[in-house]
Amino acid sequence: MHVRVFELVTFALLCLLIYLGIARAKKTKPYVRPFPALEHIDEAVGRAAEMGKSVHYCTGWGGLNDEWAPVTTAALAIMGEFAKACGKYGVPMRYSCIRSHIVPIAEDIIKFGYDTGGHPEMYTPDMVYYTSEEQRALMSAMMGYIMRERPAVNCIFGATKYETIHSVGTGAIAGSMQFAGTPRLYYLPIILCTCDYALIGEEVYAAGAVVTGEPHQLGSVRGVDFFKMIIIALIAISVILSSAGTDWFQRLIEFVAG
Amino acid sequence: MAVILKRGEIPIILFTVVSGIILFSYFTGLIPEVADELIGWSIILVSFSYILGLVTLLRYHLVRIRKREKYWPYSAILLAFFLMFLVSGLLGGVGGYEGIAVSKEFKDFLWLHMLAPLQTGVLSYVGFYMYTVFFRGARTRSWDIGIMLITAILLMLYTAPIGAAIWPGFVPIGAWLKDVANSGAYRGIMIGVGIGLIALWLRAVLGYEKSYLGGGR
Amino acid sequence: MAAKTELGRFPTADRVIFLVFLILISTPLVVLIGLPIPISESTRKSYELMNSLKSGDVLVMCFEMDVGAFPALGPGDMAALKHAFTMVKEKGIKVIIFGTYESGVKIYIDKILQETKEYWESLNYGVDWVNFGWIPGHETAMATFARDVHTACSVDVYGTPVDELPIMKDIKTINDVTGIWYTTYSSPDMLPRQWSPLEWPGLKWTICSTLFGTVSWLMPYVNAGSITSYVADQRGGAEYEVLIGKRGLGCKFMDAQSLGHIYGIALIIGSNVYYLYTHAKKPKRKEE
Repeated sequence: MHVRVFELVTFALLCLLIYLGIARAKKTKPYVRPFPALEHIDEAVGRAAEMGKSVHYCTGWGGLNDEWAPVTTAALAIMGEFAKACGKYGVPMRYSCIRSHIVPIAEDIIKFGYDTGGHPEMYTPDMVYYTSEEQRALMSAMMGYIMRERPAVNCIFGATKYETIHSVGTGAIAGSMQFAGTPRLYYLPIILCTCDYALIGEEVYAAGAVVTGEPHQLGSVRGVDFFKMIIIALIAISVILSSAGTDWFQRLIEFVAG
Repeated sequence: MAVILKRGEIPIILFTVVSGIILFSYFTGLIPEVADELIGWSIILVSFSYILGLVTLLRYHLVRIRKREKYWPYSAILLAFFLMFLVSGLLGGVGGYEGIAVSKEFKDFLWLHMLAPLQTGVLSYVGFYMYTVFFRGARTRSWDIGIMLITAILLMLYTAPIGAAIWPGFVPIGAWLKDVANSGAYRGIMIGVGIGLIALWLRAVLGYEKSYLGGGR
Repeated sequence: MAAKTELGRFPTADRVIFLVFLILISTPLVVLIGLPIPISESTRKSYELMNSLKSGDVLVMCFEMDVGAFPALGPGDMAALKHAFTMVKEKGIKVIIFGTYESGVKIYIDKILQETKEYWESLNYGVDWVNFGWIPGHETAMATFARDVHTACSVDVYGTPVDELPIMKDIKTINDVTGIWYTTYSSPDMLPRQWSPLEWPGLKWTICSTLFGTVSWLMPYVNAGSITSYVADQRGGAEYEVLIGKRGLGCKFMDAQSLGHIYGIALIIGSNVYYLYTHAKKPKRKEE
């Protein structure tokens, strides 16, 4: 029997902090700093309404059955906000989807958005366009739609890969107002160069929690932040002590880790 | 019975039990064969999700053709090619097997000489769009974007052999940026992703996270 | 950032940029420039690890790839395959090939095997090497392979059951594998999670061949020893070709890459010079 003590203790500590964060958030809503990307959703969709154009949204390559499930969940929550704004201003929306299991979830989210926004009659299931599981099909579908229809707003949030470049590049040529956000860092320079508003790294998770406003989402963001502060403190202590020439802290961690 | 099966608690209990067994096996090293069996089942379930994707694709495009919606001929072309590739994949020859009605040569023509170059071609747009970004977006609007652009130039000179030919110093600079500066940022992101996943698991176990159940609200 | 549209829906400026780019990267494929290719430490280490395989050692080559990224990682994989098959003939190592990516990995494997046919057609399939094609399940397939190879690889690409393949007789878990060459164009972190030499004592080393943008992602694992070495993108593939003495596609692409990068740098500098010039000419406005 090989018990991973250090991993188990870390896992338990993280779960405890998240649980306490959720419990606290039910009483007092935690403060999350504002995100410009979320604050300009109304302005962007209003622009689309004035131009008589649509809003294009994509959550990229990630699904709900891999390690990027939290990001995709957050991206779908943000899509709900866009759907609500589209419902409010009467703007058509198109969601390009690469994962079949997301299709029914997306249909539900968009329908709810239009119902809440005030234009339930505008919703059609065609708003969710499933391109197959093939990434190249998603790229082609997005590029074709953006070049043909020239949406006023182009968004790509979530666990994205190369389709980010295709989406924001075509959007830049088409003149769309662009929103993007991904924790996958290597597309961030492209996003920062071409997008009007961006969510960087873990801002996507926090933004997803902010748009839902649900205590469990906000509380888990707080709990995760506390855990990260502990990690940062450990790193800082380790760097200072190692730079001072002593390795007892490192030996302590190695002893605990087994 | 139907009432019991429709209750939202059943999938949460299933999720908790299965993930609990796998986590227990990981942390203690006990019952690895049970955990391996459950992981093996997930491979089968993932395969079924492709069938769901197939049905969704067919449904979408068949409706477009039937209703003669905008661009419906493209849906017809898509379905025609879909059937062609499906039939060639199922019946085509491979290895020593000659195939039924579809020869190995025709199948190789479709897959290796038609599909492969098309996929490569679409992915190559990445290169073209990068240059669009350089032209349109790579403007030094602030000092931080300026640093980003200088870093990008240094890394481009590091990756291409011409950089070392121009000045050998580009190599250690680029290597430092890649191995030290960039990887530090990635460590932070990887920690965040792992923690986020555990947070999602805990919310699902506690019954707060229901997006995977198809409801969402 | 609206684009001025002329000559139809696609802006002229972008058409010119794309045309110049196309001319620049295709010229070296016809007129060879032949710039020297310095060998990086990581590629040299990967070559030495592959070369350290002895008679009876088992090499697994796993591809988490699809054929769209063939120009980027294909040259490196083909060079590694040529190296591996040469060692099968000279030293008697065993090679197991399969892919885990759900979208088109089998086409990729077919393509790289087609390009390296002269190296394997004289070998004894099923005894010296085996191809399992696509194993469904992605990371779960890798996890299953680590614990029970025969369950993960139940039949080879020709439908032969694993128990009928002599090469697989003594390979039950990943501890029976000596080294792994893992190519990925998406997430490299599945390799250290499932197949780490720190976790599996029988596994001596792992090499990850991946895109340049992903190398930073795997550096923490390389520093920790969860991945032994890596080969970075097309440049790493070209370096590997130089090391095995068989220059191919990778070396040919390097000249094109050099010109392409110089063009990109020129565009960045040019657009910034133009921006600063026009920005300096405009009257200063208050920031919103």
